[in-house]
Amino acid sequence: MENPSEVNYTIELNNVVKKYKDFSLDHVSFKVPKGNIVGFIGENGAGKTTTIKALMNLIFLDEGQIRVFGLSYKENEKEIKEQIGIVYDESCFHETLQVSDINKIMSNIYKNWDQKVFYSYIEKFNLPDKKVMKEFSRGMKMKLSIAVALSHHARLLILDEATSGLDPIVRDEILDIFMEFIQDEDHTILVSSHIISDLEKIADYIIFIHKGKIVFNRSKDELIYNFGIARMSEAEFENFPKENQQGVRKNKFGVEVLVNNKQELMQQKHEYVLDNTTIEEIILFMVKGELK
Amino acid sequence: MKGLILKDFYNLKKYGRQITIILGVFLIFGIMMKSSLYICFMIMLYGTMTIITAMSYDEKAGFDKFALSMPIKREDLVKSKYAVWLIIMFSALLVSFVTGLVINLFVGGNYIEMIISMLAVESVYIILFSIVIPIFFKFGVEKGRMYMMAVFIIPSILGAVAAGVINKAGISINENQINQIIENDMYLIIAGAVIFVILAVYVSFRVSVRIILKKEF
Amino acid sequence: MEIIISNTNGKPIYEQITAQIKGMIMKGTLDQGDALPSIRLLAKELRISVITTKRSYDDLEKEGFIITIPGKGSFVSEKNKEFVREEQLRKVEENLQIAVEYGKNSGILLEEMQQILKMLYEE
Repeated sequence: MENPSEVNYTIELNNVVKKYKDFSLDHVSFKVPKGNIVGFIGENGAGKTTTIKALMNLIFLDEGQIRVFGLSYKENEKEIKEQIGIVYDESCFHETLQVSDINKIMSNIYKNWDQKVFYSYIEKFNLPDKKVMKEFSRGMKMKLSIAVALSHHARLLILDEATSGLDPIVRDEILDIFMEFIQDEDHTILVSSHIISDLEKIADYIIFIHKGKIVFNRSKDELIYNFGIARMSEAEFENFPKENQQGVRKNKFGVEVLVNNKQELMQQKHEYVLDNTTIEEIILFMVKGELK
Repeated sequence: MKGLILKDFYNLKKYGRQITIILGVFLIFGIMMKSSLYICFMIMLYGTMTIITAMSYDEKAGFDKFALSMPIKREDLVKSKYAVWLIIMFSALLVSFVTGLVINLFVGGNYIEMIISMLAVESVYIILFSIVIPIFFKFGVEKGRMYMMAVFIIPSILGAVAAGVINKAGISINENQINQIIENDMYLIIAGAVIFVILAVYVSFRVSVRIILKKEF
Repeated sequence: MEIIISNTNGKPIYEQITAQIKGMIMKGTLDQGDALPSIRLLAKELRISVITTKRSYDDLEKEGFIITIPGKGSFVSEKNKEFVREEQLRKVEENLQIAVEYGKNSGILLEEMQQILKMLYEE
């Protein structure tokens, strides 16, 4: 059993507050343990990208602290960023650049740029040598960005909506790469996405943010194990205990309730249907079905 | 920072080729019109302006956000831009000189007058762009273009108005008098101009750095 | 070594893995001292989270089936096979005891009992 005091947190956010005109990050706190894949989910506009910008020191906090690898940006900005591989949702390279140009540029930016590794990914992804960015499809640009992120011996991989707009096959290839990356227990991945199905399988923890607040930060296994959907009639719903309801959806023909004590309910005798659920459904229920 | 400078030069490869062709056309005009001034001024202008193209490329690609996610100091983001600006500008100045000299070889002309007018014009370009570049850092290239127009047009308008006022007031400026002043204190004027230009670039740089240090991406 | 998990059979995935590895150890497919795949490799191949595989291995270790040496990996523990075997035999005996007592009290002969056993095994 791991001694809790030895657990290393790659990312630590403490009471982060950032106010904008019509939106703010409201005392956002969470920790991402080393060696894990953490899914950061929430609807569009919930605050995922803002949080990641804060994580990358692209925006300045009104309140709160952020530590990455145990270091602070005030003192160790360069050191932190050397070890982060970042993939945004849009490729950031000018349309006339080629793979070889990008290699040259990056090798002069990152201390640990590894040309061999970079080209091995280029080959693995079948990215063309001679074409310019303008001729790259969205999937190709994304794979290129990932190749860049993985070619300087980064310890932390952050992806911000990197997989939206990609077909399932490409997304699957990318999941493979994540799993490969996480073989080293010193590596950590933070994936922010609103395509949750990707994360359902491989995420260790799920952090759910909604309207700038962290709603939960829990182990995915625990979520899948404990949450369920009970489907019943209006009448049954009237008598259904309130404490473990996490969301309700009514339709013309019945009521669906998101419960967080599925195991307990399974032991009891019940008329209503009790189903397993997915992370995606949990989020849907919590957001649309009267957030509790 | 070297990486950033490299990036700008790679980005500008295609643009550079296009400009060379355009300037080639102007060169032919220049030779035909027996004047080196126009082509030289155009070479210098493009040299000074290219930095705007470089910055607009970054803006279009969203590169700055990415750059700041890498181990690059915010200050370096600015340093590299000024480095690129100065490198391209002075290379253009050199090319301009050579072109002017070559043309003058063929069509004759006053070398000294050419060099002085080129330096004077270049100084004006540098000072104008020293004002404009921080504006681009602050507002981005798209929005900044409007401000840039203002920066170029307002002095011209003021100049025209001033000239009109001076004319109306009946004060005539004797061209000879001015030429005398220039010839007498030529070195002083040149030294003053050089210092002023260096100062302009330096102040511009520091202002840009301050802007970027505070900017959110 | 083969591990097949089901997403729909209701049992948590970590339990399924624990059960399958236990089974392999008891059957002898995995011998004492054999190295188990790392929790990360297992997670990657099965496309599940590292926490899941870690939980199975932790449970297996708690029950004495494997030992984990930091820096080296997880291995099927020694002697455990015999211990488990004894446990299993003991359990079987316990359960058979009940059947035999009932049989005796109901006048069921040994041959009949053996027939039933045979039938059940061949199911």
